[in-house]
Amino acid sequence: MKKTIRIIAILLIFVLIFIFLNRLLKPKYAENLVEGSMINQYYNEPKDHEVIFIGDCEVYANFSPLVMYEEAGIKAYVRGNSQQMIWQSYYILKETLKYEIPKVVVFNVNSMKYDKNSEEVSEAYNRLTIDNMKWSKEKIGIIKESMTEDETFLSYVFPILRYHSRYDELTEEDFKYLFKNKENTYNGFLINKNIKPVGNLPVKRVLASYGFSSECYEYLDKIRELCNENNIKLVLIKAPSLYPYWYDEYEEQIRKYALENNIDYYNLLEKAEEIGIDYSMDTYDAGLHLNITGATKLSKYFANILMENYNLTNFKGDPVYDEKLNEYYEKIK
Amino acid sequence: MRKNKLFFMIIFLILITVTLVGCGEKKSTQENIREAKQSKSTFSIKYNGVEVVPGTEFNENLISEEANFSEIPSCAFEGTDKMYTYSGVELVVTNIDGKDKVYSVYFITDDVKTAEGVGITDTVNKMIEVYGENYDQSISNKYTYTKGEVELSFIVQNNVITSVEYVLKTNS
Repeated sequence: MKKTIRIIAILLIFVLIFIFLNRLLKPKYAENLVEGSMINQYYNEPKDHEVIFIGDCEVYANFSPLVMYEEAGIKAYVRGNSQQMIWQSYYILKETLKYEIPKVVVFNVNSMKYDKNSEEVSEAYNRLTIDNMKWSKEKIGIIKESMTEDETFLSYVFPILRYHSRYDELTEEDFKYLFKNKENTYNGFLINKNIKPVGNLPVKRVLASYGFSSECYEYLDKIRELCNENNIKLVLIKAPSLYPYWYDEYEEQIRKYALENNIDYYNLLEKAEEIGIDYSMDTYDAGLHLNITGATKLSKYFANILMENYNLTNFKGDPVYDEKLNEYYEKIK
Repeated sequence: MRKNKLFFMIIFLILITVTLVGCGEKKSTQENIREAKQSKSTFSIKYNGVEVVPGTEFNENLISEEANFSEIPSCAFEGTDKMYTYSGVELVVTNIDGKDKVYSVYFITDDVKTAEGVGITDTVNKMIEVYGENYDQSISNKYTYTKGEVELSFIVQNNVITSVEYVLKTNS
């Protein structure tokens, strides 16, 4: 009997140490590579958003929901991650709809140009998007769809399989955020106050193919169907990032898709001048993403489009959002 | 004594775990890059009389022509890439193991030729004549030849080359 208890005790201690090591060795994304912390910040949010943005860095860097609240009283959240591929966007949208049903889903179409063979698909970006996602059917789906050839499903279940070699890279951050997360975004918007003007953009490469892949269309269809099933208005956008290039051939395909499926599409890159974006001061990385001044201009502009066209509620005066707005302004001072 | 036994058993189990997970160790991008560094690149190009080899260090002072310069976040690596745009080619230089190395060379005009004499506006037949048929054609109009750690790709439209680019393989 005593022997059995001893074995159980040993196994229990082993399991606890194993769990502890998994947590310890997994990157915390709290102060470094903060893009990896965005996915899980959503879980602590009140789930009363009428607008959900889905997409890659072109949404989390360019659209500030709190500016939209201030401008038009919109409650929005950005569920975007670095290099978030369209199949990942689908699963993240699906997960979001388990928590809340917004009136509008805004999807940034930039990722339509990447298929599963694109060099932009990488384990590093997969990890940033998936590591901190809550376990669910959607997480299992996103892992299966996203894994590169060298990755294993088990390494997502037990991060120690992937990160065991980090034992000699552990920093204070790993201990400080062992059992807590750091809130790095404001409703999914990642603030950047730096300025790096657009200079010499790379030469526009000739591509072997400009056609979107069938798998990207398949996921765009799935996103559209998911919205239809839940009575959500799907809106497509192209954010005003100058690079990587958005080719005319891409634009043509999206316009055609939007027209055929009766979806509203806004190319905000074409509206940059009307929005008032000045690429000599409104970008932090020479035209790839907008900085705080650029994002503010864009968010105000787009908030008015949303308010005028999609029957949204004006939540101005909401105490939770007013407090968030104060914190936001403290941060961007 | 019993406590000691218990302690050693726990240590033993942890060691087994760490050893087992060690088997699944995955190469990092940096390790892949290091391997790339060790391999000799065999494709190269001469631009303005200066030999440019992907995977080797880049010294902008060697090329007499002044380049338009910019830095953009790297697609293939962490950090930023340096872009040198000359009248005939665009070089992407990236930091590999602390050194600025050529990552890619993209032809802008048709007066620039590969070391073997093929450039934009040449025909597919000429390309095959020069480089042979040992190419990869994952996309029907893109022909990729590999030598060492460098890929040389030609994009073709109506049998005419419209794009030439050398890229360092990263295996990432």
